[in-house]
Amino acid sequence: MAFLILVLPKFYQMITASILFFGGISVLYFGFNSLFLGFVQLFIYIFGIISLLIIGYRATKKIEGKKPRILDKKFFFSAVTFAVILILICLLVYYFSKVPDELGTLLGNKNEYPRLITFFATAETLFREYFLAYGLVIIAFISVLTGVSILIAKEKKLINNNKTTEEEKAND
Amino acid sequence: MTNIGIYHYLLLGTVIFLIGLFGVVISKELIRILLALEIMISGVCINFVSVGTLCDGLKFDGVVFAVFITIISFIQTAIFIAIIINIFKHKKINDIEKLGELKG
Repeated sequence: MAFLILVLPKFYQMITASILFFGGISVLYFGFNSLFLGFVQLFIYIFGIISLLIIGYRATKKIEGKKPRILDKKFFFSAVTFAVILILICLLVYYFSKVPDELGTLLGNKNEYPRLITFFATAETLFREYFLAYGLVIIAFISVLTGVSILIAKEKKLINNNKTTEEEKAND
Repeated sequence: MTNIGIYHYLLLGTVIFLIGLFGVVISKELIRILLALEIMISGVCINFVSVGTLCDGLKFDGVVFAVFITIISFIQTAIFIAIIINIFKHKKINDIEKLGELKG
């Protein structure tokens, strides 16, 4: 994802990749049990990225004299929504891995858990051991796939729109 | 399955730092250089946090270092963005190769 930030040509693509990358770094900090650092990282960088988007929008509008196409509102809102959902999922997973400890304290004995809670306890062990190690890799992989598929869909739509416009012009 | 130790996290931080360094060297656009710098800083912070968390006796030192680095990088980013805006306002340039007034 870090490499994608440097390679993607368009401004909004770069910003989307940045949101996903820094969200992933925040998840890594959550995995290190540094909640404060994770939230600080998240809010500072998302705030910075939104500022960059606004600056880019206003600068492009001033130079070209019209609203820039690179900052399509739908894509901006979908990218931010996706980033927020990803972060919420990661926080839920982190909380999910913590829940069995509290349930164990309430119920007294881990071995007497009902089947659902036994599943949670096993999942807790798995998440604690592997989420920290592989979670970032999995999330980065998923975010790369999703980001690339969104970009391909957007490019196809733009190409189709351009073809339609050219055909209409040719017919005229 | 192999145990994931501190060396894996240090390697991850180093790789991210090197990707950022590559971006700073290769990029021509100012905003892309800024993002590459942030990537480098993220790599350094990952190293600090992993050493602080996974080494005994350094419980919060790594996290505190990372917080300081993040705050200073935030200030640096704000100044960088102000410089970019002023360059764009006066010169209408986004390409670093065209900024050569200070060249000897």
